[in-house]
Amino acid sequence: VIPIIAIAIVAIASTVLGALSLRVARSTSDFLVASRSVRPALNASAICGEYLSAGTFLGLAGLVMTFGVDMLWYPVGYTAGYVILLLLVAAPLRRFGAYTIPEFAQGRLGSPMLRRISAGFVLLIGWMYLLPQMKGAGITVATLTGAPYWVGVVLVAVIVAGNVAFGGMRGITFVQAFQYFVKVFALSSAAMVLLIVGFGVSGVQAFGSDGPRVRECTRIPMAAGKSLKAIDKIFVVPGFSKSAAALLKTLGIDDVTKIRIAEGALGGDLVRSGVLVDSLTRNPDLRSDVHPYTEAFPGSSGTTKPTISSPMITKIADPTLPATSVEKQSLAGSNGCGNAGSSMLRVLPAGATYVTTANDVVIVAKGSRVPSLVGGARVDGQAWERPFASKAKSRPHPLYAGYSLIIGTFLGTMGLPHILVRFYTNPDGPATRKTIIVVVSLLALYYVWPPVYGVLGRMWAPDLLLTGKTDAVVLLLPQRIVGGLGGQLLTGVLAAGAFAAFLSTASGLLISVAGAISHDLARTAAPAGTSIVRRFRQAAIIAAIVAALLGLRAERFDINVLVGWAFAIAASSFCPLLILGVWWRRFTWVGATAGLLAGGGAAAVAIFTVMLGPKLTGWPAALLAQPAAWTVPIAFAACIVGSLLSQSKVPADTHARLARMHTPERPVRN
Amino acid sequence: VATRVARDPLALPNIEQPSGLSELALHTLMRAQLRMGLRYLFVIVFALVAVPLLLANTSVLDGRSLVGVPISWIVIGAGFFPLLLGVAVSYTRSISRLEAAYLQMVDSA
Repeated sequence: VIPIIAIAIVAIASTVLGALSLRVARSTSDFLVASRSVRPALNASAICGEYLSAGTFLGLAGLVMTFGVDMLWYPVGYTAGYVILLLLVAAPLRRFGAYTIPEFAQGRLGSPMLRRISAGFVLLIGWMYLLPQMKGAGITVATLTGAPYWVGVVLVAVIVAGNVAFGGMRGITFVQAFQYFVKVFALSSAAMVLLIVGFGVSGVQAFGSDGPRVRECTRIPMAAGKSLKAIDKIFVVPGFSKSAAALLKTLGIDDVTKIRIAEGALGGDLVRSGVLVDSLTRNPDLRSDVHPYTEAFPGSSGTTKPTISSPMITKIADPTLPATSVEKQSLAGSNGCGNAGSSMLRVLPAGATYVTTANDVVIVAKGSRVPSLVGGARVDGQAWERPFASKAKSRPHPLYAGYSLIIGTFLGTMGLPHILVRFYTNPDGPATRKTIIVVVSLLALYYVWPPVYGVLGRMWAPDLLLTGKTDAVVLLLPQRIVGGLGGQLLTGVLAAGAFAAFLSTASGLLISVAGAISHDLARTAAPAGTSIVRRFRQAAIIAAIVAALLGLRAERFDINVLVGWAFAIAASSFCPLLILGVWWRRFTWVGATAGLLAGGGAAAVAIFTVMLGPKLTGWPAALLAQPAAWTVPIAFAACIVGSLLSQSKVPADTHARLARMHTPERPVRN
Repeated sequence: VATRVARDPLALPNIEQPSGLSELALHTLMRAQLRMGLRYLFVIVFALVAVPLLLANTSVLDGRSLVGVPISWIVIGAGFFPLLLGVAVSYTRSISRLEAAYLQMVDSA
């Protein structure tokens, strides 16, 4: 309940703050860039509030937990991106005075077509980046309330669309700044508590280990069709067949996955249907949970009376597994799981593989390693701990992947449409520089925390590596480590921070996407009498609907990987456009167009191939999954070659425009 | 009712100086600004290229840890932030000085 209240508070506070400044949002310039009058410290907080998304709040911890040290390059690149923005782009771009990247493209190079193509990339990057925000919202609501995935997606889409359509950016400058502090407070305060309690109990066991081990006997409900490989000996309780589940329902048991098998509880017989009976009757704590079973199944040793007749039992026992796989085995001697003899409990010795069926439950004894998924991406032991040491088939060439990730995040930041537009809210070039310094400090304060959750997750929630729900690790750790009311409170704080992350980033992205639609793409298509603001509102609602529809299909991708892809596309399209646009006098719209289409196009094709295509291995997999290292050079090359071949197209006013960008402002004298 | 703000991106409504800024002067200014940016950029790029190479190819850091956390984790996860902040602060100071000097030169000319 506490986490739900926390989410509600953040959502309501954001809406109210946005609504309060509603009446200020009047003109286009108010709407899009807060009238250029926001102070550096506030603006920096707002930029960070907008920048720190579900990707780093939830996704980064999940990636660190799965892949280890190599994932720490993400926050390095995310921060370094602001420094290259400062060194090469920020102040000149601010002096130039365009509001968005498409506007800069047209203003600098004089081509309306280039502006439209740029706007197309704003949509591509914006929606690509909205996907993980939607997924973050979906899994957060699902994790906290058990609601279906789509609830959170729709919730965030509705709140953000409303906020953006009726508040504009002035509205959300304050909201974004507020959300930065919510996020950093949530992540750091909870991390400190979890660190003290978590490491206090067990020390830092994550490092120097040969794989993630469970802390106590753990039962892990599995989805069907997962192929897993035992590292240590594990046990599988086969899932119920449909008929068995239906029969149980007639006995008043709706949810077979609710049965718990706790430490020490797994003694005695496991009934043919795969349900533990006898020991449960001996364990008073669990009795209320399983009482109907103990009454339902005869043949368990002694203490209960069967109340249903044997034909029905036969039906339940109708196993979905091949008979040869059924072994009579004992868990005796396996730490924590007690002693169970069963005709249905399946033992997988170390090295054995197994494909799950519906409702299978994997039991990992205390101190044993969690099995790995065949074809899964998890990294164990030294490869997790040591830089660029992965030898996993699904993650080949880790050094290349690392460099490519660094290039994509380092150069992609400047090309993010929702970030660049924020810099226009600075009054002038020097204020823009000050803002970036504050931004880098605020990011550093924040980015040290997500890896802490990843490491703790490795120790306290390794079962997520098997279920694949690592993106939820931040939200689950408080219950695992602290538990009780304290755990609930921490979960509430983290849920509030996570929601602040989705709302702020999604708002910023939605403004950019809606701006590109209403301002750059649909300029001529507006019906007479439609005001700019009204069109912006319509565009915002349409963009939110598209984002929600895409978000519903994003559940199977890692949040922060999706974010990294948005960066890679930005780096391969807008980065060359901005750098060459600011510094190169011979740049032409022909070159810029060639660069956008070749570099951005190649990156997009690579990423869509990974998302939708078949599984690849070796170099093709590495090159496509982290394309920036080759698509950025392609983009620069195409820009330069295209420009040199079209020197007649150099805009006549290049000198004036470069002069405007590079001439320093006079200091304001009071 | 929202008011439409006239804003043609191709128009340059409030250019202040360029009337007197010659091709050569602009060229010189831009070169100085760019050179300064690239000098600081080099520091970052060097770190971003060299550190992964070192970590991938040497075993110096293997098994070394601080309060239980491997040094390599600390280097990547925390060590880059002071460097980036230092570059940002130092560059901003230098470029402000450079631009102030430029304005002074324009005034005295």
